[in-house]
Parts: sequence; structure tokens; C-alpha cells
Amino acid sequence: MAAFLKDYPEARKYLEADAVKPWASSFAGATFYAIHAYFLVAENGQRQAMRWSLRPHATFAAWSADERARASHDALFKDVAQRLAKAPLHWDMVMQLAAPGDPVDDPSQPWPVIRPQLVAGTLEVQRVFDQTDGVCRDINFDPTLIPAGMALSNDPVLATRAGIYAHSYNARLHEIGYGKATDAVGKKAAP
Amino acid sequence: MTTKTRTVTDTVPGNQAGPPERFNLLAQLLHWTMAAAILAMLFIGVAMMASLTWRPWLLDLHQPLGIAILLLAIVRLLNRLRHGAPALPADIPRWQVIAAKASHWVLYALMFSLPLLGWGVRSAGGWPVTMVPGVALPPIAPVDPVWYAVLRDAHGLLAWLLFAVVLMHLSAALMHAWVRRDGVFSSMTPAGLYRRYRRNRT
Repeated sequence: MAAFLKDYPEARKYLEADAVKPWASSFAGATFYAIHAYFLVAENGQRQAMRWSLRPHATFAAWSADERARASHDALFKDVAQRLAKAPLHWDMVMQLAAPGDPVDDPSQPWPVIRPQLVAGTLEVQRVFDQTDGVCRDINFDPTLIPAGMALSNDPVLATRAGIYAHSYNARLHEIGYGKATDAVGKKAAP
Repeated sequence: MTTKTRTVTDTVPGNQAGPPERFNLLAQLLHWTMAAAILAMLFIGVAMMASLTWRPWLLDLHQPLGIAILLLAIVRLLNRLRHGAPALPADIPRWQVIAAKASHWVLYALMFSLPLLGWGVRSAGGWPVTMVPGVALPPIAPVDPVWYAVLRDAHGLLAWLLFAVVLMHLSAALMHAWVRRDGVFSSMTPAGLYRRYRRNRT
């Protein structure tokens, strides 16, 4: 592990940051960072590098180690369902625009916080479902599936994720399609 | 080359001159273009599923090339049904004649089914078949995990079958070209090329 961290200092940087970063006490106040850069492509072909995140309207509340130890196994899922029973939750889709020279293909290098940000839209969450009766189970959350008007960066992690996700998606849908799945269809695994 | 020939494939009714000695130029052009395209597709398909680096752009190439093969296969089938194929030499064993005929129709079946299955896989996964950025084909299968699982397996298995049949086809073709030298291989090459080849050999 030490040799690995020596060869890959960005992994060490992540582990150190993660060790001190406070946990969110609710999904509602958590920010989602899509760390990969994409290009927004204008009609004239001009490209602007961009990274996006989902910024919650609800305020962030830290979750201490003590509270975590006392919480039930599904505390976060119950919490979000309870909140949604009262009102929808919202996240803004925030796009951060790169300046020339910002590292586009390296997801381990954040861009300076002074880079312009714009709110491209707002996500409203009204309900949550279990995977067995929801529509999310059979989706491949492949970060290279992008709409027209966007282009992939040369971030090697993007392509790597696409490859790995394709295999796990095929394996998952193979199980579901041939009736071998357990959790995914709400069946208990055979002992 | 023997003059006594046996017709092994359907020829144009009323063709008094007998079956053609060579495939027509369109058939030859389609054969070699599609041979290159299909061989490329087999390797693109494998590389796309194995590579952690090239998948996005290989996938972008796999889709339009697959649809191009499907369209060319339609033209090729019509041309084949219209003009037939040259007869095989009479001294070829019966089992080889049957194998040749069967493998050709298996190749045709795969040239049609593989692109359609690939299109179906994309449809069942809920993804478009993208020709060029912004231009996509409509889905041909419902977005459904059972459809996806079956189509995806069929696409992969039949691709390996195609690879095997292509290797058999290539082996047999080279056997005719280099060992038997019976004119079967040159029925798929332009006449001028074959004359030059014969001249250089003597």
C-alpha cells in the first residue's frame, strides 16, 4: 500500500482528504460531485470544458462518529423517505467552467474555486423507490453516455469506468433476465 | 480447370450461357469491402469489451459500421439472388459442396442478424444507435432487462460463430487458391487480376 501511494500521490491526497471530511447526516444536504470534465459544444463547434455538481438546497449537517455508531442500518434511507413525505427535495445542477490551462483530463485536480459557476437547472426529487419496483435498477450509469451538444474529455478514468460498468451491467441484467437475480428482484438469496 | 461443372447454387432461370464463371463485379466489390468491414468489426467488438481506454471511440465506430454492413448485406443478397453464383468444379466431394453452400448462407444470415441484434441490444438497454453525433436510429426492441440479456448474449455468441465461419471460409478459399488451384478462389477476383496472376506463374 505504501509503495502504491508513493507511485500515485493523488490517491494519497484523496485518502487524506476523505479522512477529515465530515460525513453528511442526510442525503438531502449532500453535494454530488461529478469529478470528470466534459466539453460543452456550441453550434459553431467552440468547446468549453466544464465540470458539474449537484448542490443541495437543504443545508449540510455533519454526522459525528458517535451519532453514526448509534444510528440504524438504514437510517439515511429512512431519513430521505421521511423528508420526501413532507416536501420534495431540490439540487441545483452547477456547472463550473474551466479557464485555459486548467487540467481537463485529470479528475484528481480540482479547478480553482474562483472559476465561474452557473446553475444549468434544478433537480426536483419527489419520491424514492426500492430498486425492485423502481426504474433505476436497469440503467447503466455510464458517465460516457452523454446528450448531443456535449463531448467527452480525454480523462482516462471516464473510459475505464465505461468499460467496467458495461461488464457489470451485462452481468447484472444477465442475472435478472434469466431469473437468477435475488436482491435485485426482491428475492432472498439461497442459503 | 475442368469444363464439366455442376451447379450448386440457384442461377438465373433462362440463362442459356450456363452459370457465370465469376461473381459479377458488384458481388466482388461487396465481398471484399464487407470482408474488411466484418473482420474489423470482430476485432473492434472484442477490443471494445476488453479495453479500458478505447471503449468510447470504438463504440462510436462499431455502431455506424454495423449499420453499414447491414445495408450492404441487403444489396448483396439482392444481387446474389438476381445473378446467382458460379458453379463449383465437378470433382469437389459432395460434403464439401454442401459445406460451402451451407456456410455461405450462414454467413448471409449472420451479416443480417448481427447488426440487427446489436441494434436490439442498444434499444433494450435504452440507448440510441448513434450514426454520427446527434443522428440516432429509432429503437427496435423494448427497454427491458429480459430482452437485453437475451439479445446481448445472442449478439456475443453469434459474433464468435461468425468468427469461426469466417476462418473456415478463409481456410477453404486458400485451399482452393493455393492447393487445388481450381479457379474457385479467382471467381471472387476480377478477371484481369487472375490473367496477370496466371501469366506471372508460367
